[in-house]
Amino acid sequence: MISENIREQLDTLHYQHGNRTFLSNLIVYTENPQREAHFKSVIDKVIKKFPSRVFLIIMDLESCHKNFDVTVEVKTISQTKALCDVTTIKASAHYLSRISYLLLPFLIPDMPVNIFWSQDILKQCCLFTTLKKVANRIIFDSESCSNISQYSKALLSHLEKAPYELCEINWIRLGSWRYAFTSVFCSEERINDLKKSKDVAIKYNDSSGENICNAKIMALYLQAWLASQLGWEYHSLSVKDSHTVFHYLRNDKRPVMIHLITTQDSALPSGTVTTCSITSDDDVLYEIHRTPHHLNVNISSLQQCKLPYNMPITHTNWEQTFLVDMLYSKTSSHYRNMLKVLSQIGESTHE
Amino acid sequence: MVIFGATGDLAHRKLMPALYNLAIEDRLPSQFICVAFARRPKDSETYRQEVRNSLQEHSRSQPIDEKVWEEFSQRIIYHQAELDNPADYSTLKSLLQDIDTQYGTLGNRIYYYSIPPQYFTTVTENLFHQKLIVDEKRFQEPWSRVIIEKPFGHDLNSALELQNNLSRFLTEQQIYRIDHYLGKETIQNLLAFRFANSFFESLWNNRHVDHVQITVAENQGVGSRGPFWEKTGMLRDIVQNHMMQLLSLIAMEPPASLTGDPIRDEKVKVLYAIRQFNEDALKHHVVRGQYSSGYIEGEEVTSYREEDKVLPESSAETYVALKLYIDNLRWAGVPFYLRSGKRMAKKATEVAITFKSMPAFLFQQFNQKLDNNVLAIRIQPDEGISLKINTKVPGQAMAIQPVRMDFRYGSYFGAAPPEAYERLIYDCMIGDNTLFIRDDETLASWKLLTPILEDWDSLYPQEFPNYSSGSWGPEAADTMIARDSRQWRLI
Repeated sequence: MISENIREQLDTLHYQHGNRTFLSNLIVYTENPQREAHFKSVIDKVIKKFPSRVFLIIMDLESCHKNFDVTVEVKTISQTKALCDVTTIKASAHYLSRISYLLLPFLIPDMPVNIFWSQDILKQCCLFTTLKKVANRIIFDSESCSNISQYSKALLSHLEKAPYELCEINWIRLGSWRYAFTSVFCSEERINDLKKSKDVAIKYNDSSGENICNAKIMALYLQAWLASQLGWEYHSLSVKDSHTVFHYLRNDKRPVMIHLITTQDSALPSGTVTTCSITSDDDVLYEIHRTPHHLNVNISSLQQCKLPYNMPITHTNWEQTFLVDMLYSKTSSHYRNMLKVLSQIGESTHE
Repeated sequence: MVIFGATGDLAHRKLMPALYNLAIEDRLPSQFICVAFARRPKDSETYRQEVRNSLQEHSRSQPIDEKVWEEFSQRIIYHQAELDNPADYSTLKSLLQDIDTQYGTLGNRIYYYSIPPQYFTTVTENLFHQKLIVDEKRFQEPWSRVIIEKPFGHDLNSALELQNNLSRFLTEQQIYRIDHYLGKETIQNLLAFRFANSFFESLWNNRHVDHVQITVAENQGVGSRGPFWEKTGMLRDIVQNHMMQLLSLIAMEPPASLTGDPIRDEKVKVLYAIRQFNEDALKHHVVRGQYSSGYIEGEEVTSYREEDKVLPESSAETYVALKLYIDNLRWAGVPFYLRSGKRMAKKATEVAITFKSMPAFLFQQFNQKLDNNVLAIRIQPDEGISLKINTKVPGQAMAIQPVRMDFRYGSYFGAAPPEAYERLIYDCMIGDNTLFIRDDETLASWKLLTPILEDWDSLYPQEFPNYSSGSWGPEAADTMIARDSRQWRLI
C-alpha cells in the first residue's frame, strides 16, 4: 500500500546527526512536469531557511498511462543540521482524486499548511477543493493564468471568503520595485510629481526562460499597483505590436498613460521589470533601472540633473524578505487594491 | 475470575493477554484461577492452546515466556455452560468450590461479563441464586465483584432498567463498569498533568481557554461488525462512554483526593453541568454522518452501506460531532467540540485546549498573524503532550512562526506502559474502583444524549452518506464550527 510505504519511510529514515524540524507543511502542486526542476529549486530555497515537511505533487494530466510514483528523501540544512523530509508524488490523471487522502494523514499537526498552487485558479480541480479546507496559506502563481482580469476577480473572490491567507508569487517578486518606489518617492515634492505623472514607461525582460512563460505579469502588476496606490481610474487599453498602453485618469481627471514595453536582457531573469520611467507634468523625469545587483536611480528635470545613485539589492536580504512575505505576511491591502484594478482590465496575458 | 463469553473476541484479544502479562509481571495472586465460561464444547487443554495462539498474536510481551506460560496455562480451566441455563450455575458453583479447596482461592470472585448486554441480568440473577455473589460487607463473606463491559444500556430507559435489575442482586461497590480508555496511561496522566502543574491549573478556565476539541478518530470501517453497528452507531459506541469520560476528566474540579469516589464525584458534577440539548441545539449543535467510499492509506474502500450485513438504506451513523457547553463557573461560555468517526483520515484520539488569542495590536504594524496557543494531549497513537507557542523568525523582519514543544512517552520512558485491561483487571482485584464508571456517571451521560437519539429516530437522514472515507468528516460539521469562526484541528 502506498501510504504504508510513505509511513515506513518517514518513520525509519535515518535522522542521524540532526533533528527533525518542521516549521510548516508545504504542499507544492504543478501540472507541468517540465517545471519539476524549478519547483525543486523553490523548495530548496524555502527549506534552507524554514525546514518543512514538503509534498511536491507533479501531475501529468496529458499522459494516458496510469502512473503513480512516490519517493521520500531527507534534506539536510547544512548550517543548522536540521533535517526535514520531502515527498515527491508523480501521478497521472487517474490518481488525482486520491492524492489528498494520501496527504491528510501525514500533515504535521499545529504547523501551518502552506499550499503553493501553481495552476490557473480559474480551472476547477478536485484536489484544490479538498486541500484549501486545511490550508492556512495559499500561494498562487499567476504564471499559469490565461486571463489576468478573470484571474484577479477570482482571487478577490477568494480573499473575501477564504479563511486562509493568500499571496501570489509574482506580487512578492515585485517587492524590490515596491521598495524602490517607496525609497525614491520619499518626500512630499516627489510624491506630488508622481501623482502628476503624465507618462509612465515600464520595460520588462521578454527573453524566454524555461521557468517563466508569462513574462508580462510583473509589469502588469507594477502598473496596476502604481495606479491603485495613486488612485488612478482605469479608462482603456490599447495594444500595438508588443507595446501595450494603459490609459488612466488621475484624481484631477487628467489622463496618464502607462506603457509596457518589451526588452531583452540576458543578465536578468525572464519577466523581470528592467526599467521604470516616470515623467511628471512639469517634465521631471524619474528613471529607475534594474541591474542584477542594484537599482540605478536617475532624476532630472529641464533645469537640472541630480546625481544618479544606486540602491543595492543583496541576494541574501531579498531572499529572506521574499520568504518572509511568502510564508508569514498577512495578505497585503496593496495587493488587494492592485487586484481590483487588474480585474477591470480586459487583458489577455498571451499575445 | 470467571470470564463469561470466554471464547469471544474480547477475551482472546484483550482479557487473556492482560492476565498473561500480569502473570509475567508477577502481579497475579499466587492463588489465582481463571474459569472460562462458554457454550462451545471443548476441554481445558484445547482452550489453553487457543489462548496461547491468541497470546502470540495479541500479547504485548513477545515471544511467549515458556516458564510463565507453563504455570499460567495450568490456572485456566474451561467450563462449558449456557448463560441462560440455571443448572449450569450449579455446576459452576461446584467447580468453584473445588477450586477453592484445591488451589486455596479463598472464595474471592471476579465475574467478567464479556457477553451481550441482554444477558447481564440473567447471569447476575443466576449467580445470586447460587450465592456466588454476596454483599461481603453485610454478610462477612469473601468479596465478589462483577465487571461489565459497555454498552451500559442503549438509551436512558434501558440504562435505568439495567441498573435497577443489577441493583436487585449487587451493591454499587460490587459493580465495576469498565471503559478501557480509563486504563490508558495517557488518560491517567490527565490527572497528573492537570493537578501536578501549577501554571496549567491557573489557565484551565474560561478566562484563558477559547475552546476545547476532543477527537476520537479511526481510519478503519466497521468491518465484520455491521450487524452490531446497525443497532449501535457512533453515539452509543464511542460518544456516550469514551468521550464523556475524556470530557469529564478534562473539565472536572480538583478532587478531594485521587481515589475512587472523590474523583468520580467531580466527574459526575461535570456531566450534570453540561447544558441539555433543546430543539435549537439539536438542530445546530449536533451533526451525524455516514461514510461513503473513498481512499484510506491510498487504497480505495467501500461505503458503509456496502459493508457486509448492512442495510443499503441504513441510517446508522458512523460519525458524530457535537458542540457542548458546561454551565459552571469554570467553563461558562467555553464551547467544547466533540467529534468521532470511522474511516477518517487517520487513527487519532486527542484532546486539544485552544487558549484565547493575544491582542494583536503589537504585531499589526508588522502585518503578522498570531496563532492561538494550543495544548494538545495525544491519547493514541504517539502518546504525549504538545504545546504550540509563537516565536520570532530569526532575521530583521518581525515575522512570527508557531512552533511545538513536544513530550512523547516513547522518547522519555523506556518501559512500555501496561495495556489498559491489565491495569483495570488488577485494580478490580485490589478493590480500587477509581478507574471504573459509577452508575450516576452512566445515567448522566445517557440523560444528556438520549434526546439526540430520539431526534435521530424521528428523522431519516436523507443526506447519508455524507462524508468520504479518508476525509475528516461531513461538511455539516465544518459548518457547525465555522459558525463560531473556528475550525476543526488538523490532527
